[in-house]
Amino acid sequence: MTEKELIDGCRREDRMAQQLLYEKYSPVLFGICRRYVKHHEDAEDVLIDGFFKIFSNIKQYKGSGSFEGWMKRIVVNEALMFLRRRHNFNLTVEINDQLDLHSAAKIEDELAAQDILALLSTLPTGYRTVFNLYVVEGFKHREIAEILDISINTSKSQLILAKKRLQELLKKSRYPGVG
Amino acid sequence: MKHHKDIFDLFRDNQHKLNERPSPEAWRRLERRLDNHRVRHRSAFQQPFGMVAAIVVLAVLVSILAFMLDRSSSRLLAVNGQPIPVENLIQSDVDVEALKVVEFTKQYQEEIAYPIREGSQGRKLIPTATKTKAQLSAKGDLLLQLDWLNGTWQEGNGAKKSVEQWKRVGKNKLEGKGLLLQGEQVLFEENLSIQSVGKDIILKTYTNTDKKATVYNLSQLGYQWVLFENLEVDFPQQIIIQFDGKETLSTLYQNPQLLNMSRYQLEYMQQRNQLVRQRALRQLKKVPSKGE
Repeated sequence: MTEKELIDGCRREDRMAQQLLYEKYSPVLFGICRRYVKHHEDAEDVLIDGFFKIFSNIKQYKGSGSFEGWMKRIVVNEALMFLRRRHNFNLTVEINDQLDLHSAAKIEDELAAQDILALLSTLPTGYRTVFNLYVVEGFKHREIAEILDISINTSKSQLILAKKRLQELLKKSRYPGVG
Repeated sequence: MKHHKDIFDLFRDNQHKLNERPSPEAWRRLERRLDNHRVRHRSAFQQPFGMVAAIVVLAVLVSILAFMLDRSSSRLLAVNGQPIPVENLIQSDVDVEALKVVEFTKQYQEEIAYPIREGSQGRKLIPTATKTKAQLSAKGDLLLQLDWLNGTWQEGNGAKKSVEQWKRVGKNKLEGKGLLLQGEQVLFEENLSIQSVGKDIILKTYTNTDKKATVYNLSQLGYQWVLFENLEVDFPQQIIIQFDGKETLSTLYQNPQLLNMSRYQLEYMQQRNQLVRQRALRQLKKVPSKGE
């Protein structure tokens, strides 16, 4: 079944098409949820909310841009809404967590999935969210400030602090090549 | 010379590794939510429609009354012997719209009365992607459904290496072995098999120290994933094996409910690759066979 056929099926609320779409894209969208939300169960809740929104609003997708990109934006928004309900992005938190990376013997330019999660989970929610939006999603500080309702300077400082903290942790965990 | 890599690039290049299939329960929860939404959507639609239907019924009653009055006045005219003027019929938009409403009401009432249309004789229901074990054993296509398991899978290049091997032996049996190696030394070995026993499809696991094998029953099978369950054991009660369609085989060991784990149970999980909050996950890459 092509992507267009899948989308058409979902527009008709065809359950088989919905399930196929879910099977195809849930791993990548769940990966996004896990980057933003610390706990596995919460990440799954965000994924379900995201997919529900995708299926409910699929008629609004005009087919002009990438469908996967459209879905990713919905899931990122859903993750941010989840975080906003629980976190004030204007408050910064000091980091005291200890990190024990699983795969210390990995080569320098590779990070294992559990290491990425372990590293991200040590960052306070604000740092982690700004880091994700800037580094992976590619937003500018001005856009992040609007999205999270914080100042541009807060966004910048949280990114710098996140980077510094991650560098320290990686060096301690024998990833010396990281700059 | 050491390769100096920016931390942003490091995360960007590796973030795809977080891609993971959510638990089968996630789809069931989403499906329930979609079903509820559909029901609510219908009843919300039904409310204004009920009003339209009431107006239509009222209009029909008024028309019948008017018709009867008209007939009695016609009879009076006939008695009086006066000529009846010829009425000019003009097509009216209002009438067309009213007809549409009546037609739509009829269709909607039929839909409520017969929500599931049976279709023509001989038509069959098409099974969804998830199959029950009864369907599977009836079809006898177990091994075909699990062919993606065949081969050697491994992870780790350093001191420790996890290896899993699966191969088909006979018509209804797949045999596997899971190993955790440190150099040449075997730290942990687990024997596995998936086979048909009577009407059941079972997964058997046992280590050299186990007195007897632990048996899990196939509970669900989806597209390139399978769920085995045994709710009588302490841990893991569910084993989910899934293939990402490219190169990664993931095996998730978990309980449907969270539990207070003993040291033994924690060790069991740590012998797998990753420990993520009371779940153990083993992710292995396919080792190309000689023919590939």
